[in-house]
Amino acid sequence: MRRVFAAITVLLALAFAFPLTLTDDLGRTVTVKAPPKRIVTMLPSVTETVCALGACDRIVATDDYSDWPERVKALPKAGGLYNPNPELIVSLRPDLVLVSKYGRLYETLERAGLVVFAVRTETYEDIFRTTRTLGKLLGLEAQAERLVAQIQREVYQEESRAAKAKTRPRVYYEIDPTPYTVGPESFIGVLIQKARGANIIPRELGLFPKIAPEFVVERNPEVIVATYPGALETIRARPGWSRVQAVQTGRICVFTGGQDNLLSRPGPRVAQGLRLLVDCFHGR
Amino acid sequence: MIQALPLAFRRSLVFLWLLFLLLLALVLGVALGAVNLPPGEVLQALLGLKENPIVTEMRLPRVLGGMLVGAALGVAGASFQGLFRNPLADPYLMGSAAGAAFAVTLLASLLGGLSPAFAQHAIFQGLPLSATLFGFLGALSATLLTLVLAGGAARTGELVLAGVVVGSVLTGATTYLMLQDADRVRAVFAYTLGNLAFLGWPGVRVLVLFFLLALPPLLLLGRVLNALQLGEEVAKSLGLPLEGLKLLLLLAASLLVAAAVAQAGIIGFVGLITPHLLRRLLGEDYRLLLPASALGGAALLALADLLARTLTRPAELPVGVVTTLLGGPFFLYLMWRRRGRA
Amino acid sequence: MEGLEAKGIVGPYALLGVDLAVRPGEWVALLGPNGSGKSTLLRVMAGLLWPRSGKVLLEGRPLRAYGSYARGQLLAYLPQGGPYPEGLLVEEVVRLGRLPHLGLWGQEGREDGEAVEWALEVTGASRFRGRYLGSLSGGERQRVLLARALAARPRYLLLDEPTTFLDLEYLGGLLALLRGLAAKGMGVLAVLHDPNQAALADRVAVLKGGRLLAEGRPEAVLTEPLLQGLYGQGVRVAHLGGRPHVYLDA
Repeated sequence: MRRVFAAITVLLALAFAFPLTLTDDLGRTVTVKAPPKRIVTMLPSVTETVCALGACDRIVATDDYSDWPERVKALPKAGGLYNPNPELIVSLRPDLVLVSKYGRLYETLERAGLVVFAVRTETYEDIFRTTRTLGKLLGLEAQAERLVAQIQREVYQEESRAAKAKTRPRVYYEIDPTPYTVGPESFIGVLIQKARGANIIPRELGLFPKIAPEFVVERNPEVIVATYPGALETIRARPGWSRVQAVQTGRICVFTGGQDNLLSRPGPRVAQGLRLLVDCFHGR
Repeated sequence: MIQALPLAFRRSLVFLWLLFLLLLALVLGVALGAVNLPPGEVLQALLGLKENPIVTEMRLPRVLGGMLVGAALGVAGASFQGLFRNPLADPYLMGSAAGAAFAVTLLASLLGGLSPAFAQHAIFQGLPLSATLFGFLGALSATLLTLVLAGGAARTGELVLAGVVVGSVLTGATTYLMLQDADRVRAVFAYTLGNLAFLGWPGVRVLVLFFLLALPPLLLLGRVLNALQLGEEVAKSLGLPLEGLKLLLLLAASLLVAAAVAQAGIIGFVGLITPHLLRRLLGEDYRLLLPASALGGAALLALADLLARTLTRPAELPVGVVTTLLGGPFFLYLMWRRRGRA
Repeated sequence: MEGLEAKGIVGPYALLGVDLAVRPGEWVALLGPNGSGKSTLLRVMAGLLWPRSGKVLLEGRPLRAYGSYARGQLLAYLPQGGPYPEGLLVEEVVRLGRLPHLGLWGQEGREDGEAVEWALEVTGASRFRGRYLGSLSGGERQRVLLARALAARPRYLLLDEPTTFLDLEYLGGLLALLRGLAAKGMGVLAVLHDPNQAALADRVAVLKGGRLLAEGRPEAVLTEPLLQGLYGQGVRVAHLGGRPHVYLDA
């Protein structure tokens, strides 16, 4: 009896929740008439969140880079930020398309009469904000709250593990060999902090500065993290870097082949990324 | 005022100025950087009294390498401008730079599957000699393709048009290859804006080698370039073996362009602006213009790189952005003055 | 066999079988309406264009048999019009005329310096030797370019409309110079568009429609019927001091 009652409550809640009007991350007002059943996700982190909410079977297509969970690999791929395939998206007749706030894909899709919601997933806080927003959009608010709690619990576990470490190693994190790095206020910068590492990059330089190599040498990081193939050899071969402590002691952590996604996608698997950093900074 | 001085004196003055600028670029380039080092410490490091890899392993080769790249672009630009009697010609005109970039990228992406380390190294830390030679083949093939499309080097208009087409197609192909690995978009972008960040002694050695190969013929052919300014018919009537000479000039300029692109990515405006500016000061005598463009290009790029790595320190700007920001408005100014005169 | 001879030149372009020779010590004017093939013939004789059939002989040997520098030492060619290297000094331009003697790597010696001085002197260009070519008037520039051609001290001088930019004073100087060069043994072939200038030459050749219409001493060639056939019925010829003088009866 109580179960039936609960089910009715949910249905009523849903009935009153929809049609639902929300403001997306571009400041657009978007109205969803009923809980979406055919979703296209154009961001890997959003794909992961939708699936983590238990709505993976509602996704009919993703962007080219979405690769987790395993089952989304088999879905049609609708391009990326720079080369989206709006024709494919329209042909799948989705009732909701989740796009990045960057790019102009939403204009094309809107003209085709689709419901488009733009999402920003850049910062650590964005993870939880986006999870709750998606929960509302999909009519899965309770699941969203549970997911948020779960992610926070996992993150806390890693943070406490890091807290046991005696030292905060100086860390240099390289996202590509130009070299571009990450500022303390970026998503990865926050993870470095949570993993009890001391980012050598000053706050003033912004989120993703192109850093002067001699600055890195002078700051003499104890740990270097890099997320591109071949980083180890590249970094070792650089002029003047042989005297950097991390190079001398071999503490260069290279994360590629999917591991880098854990660190670059502000999504439900953030704690796994954090674990990589904690292991790297402080050992297992 | 300077116009009133005797010509020979004026010309010597220009060369003295260029040498001064070069020296200034060297001193400031080694003294300044993202890290503050007291002048005494820099001097001690240079003299080998006290070890400091930031000075001896990073700044010094970067400044010298930047100078060589700038000199290569300056000389190649002057050669192309003289060869095609077109003051707007530059290493990018003949598709030469695009060809080098394409070859280097192709090599990197072919080897990328086998050795990602090499691919990264190739693109971002200056190429080893073998790969620079590959870039040279790219520059040369692109130039020859341009020549074939233009129906020979004699027809300047067709040549410029063909060069632009070949360059655009190859640049498109390069971008395509690089985008195959979409995680590298930012790095690809950086490459197309030029990067001297990791130019070390090995890169300097490769540049020096290419210079020794390509610079002597170019400097010795100054008189031939002068004769070409009288038109190809006159040059031919003077007995010059024109087709062979043009090929030699193209080969030498392609060597320089390939070395520059392989070590530093794509850096715009240096090859265009340097000879253009010096032509106003020295006239069009290529026996003067070629060595002056080498000095001028070297000073210009070294100073641009100094700005790139100090303006926002400890962050860096892409050096190509600086050369474009300096060169673009300056070029517009030149064109405006030209219009005013005409 | 002395001289520069064109024999049975057919093609390129409009030429339909032309014979023409210039001997050392002789000034020949080549006259004809636009499109008659004058400039083309001059280029063929300079070795810059090759005919479809026929041959050019230089001192009895085919022109093709000469090396390019040897040819440049014997034949100097001055085209009509540019390009003009505005940023080169007058003296630098004239010194380029020595290239056939220097080759690619040769260093200038005393003989080269003397030839350049001589060329600057006889053309009256030495006054502005230190100026940029771009700063000169059309007439001054033309004299510099002529000096460049002369600097090789060629045996034959081939000029394409050298009088185009000249005012009357310079014109007189140039025509006297051509006369003087011929008197010293140079063979001069000049494409001209003004019959009155041609009248001063030793010999006049008239080209029309790719064929040689007439050839001979000026007073024999520059007749009213021939010139009317070339330029229209309004052309009249008077004889002043034994030389034909052409004018328009308006």
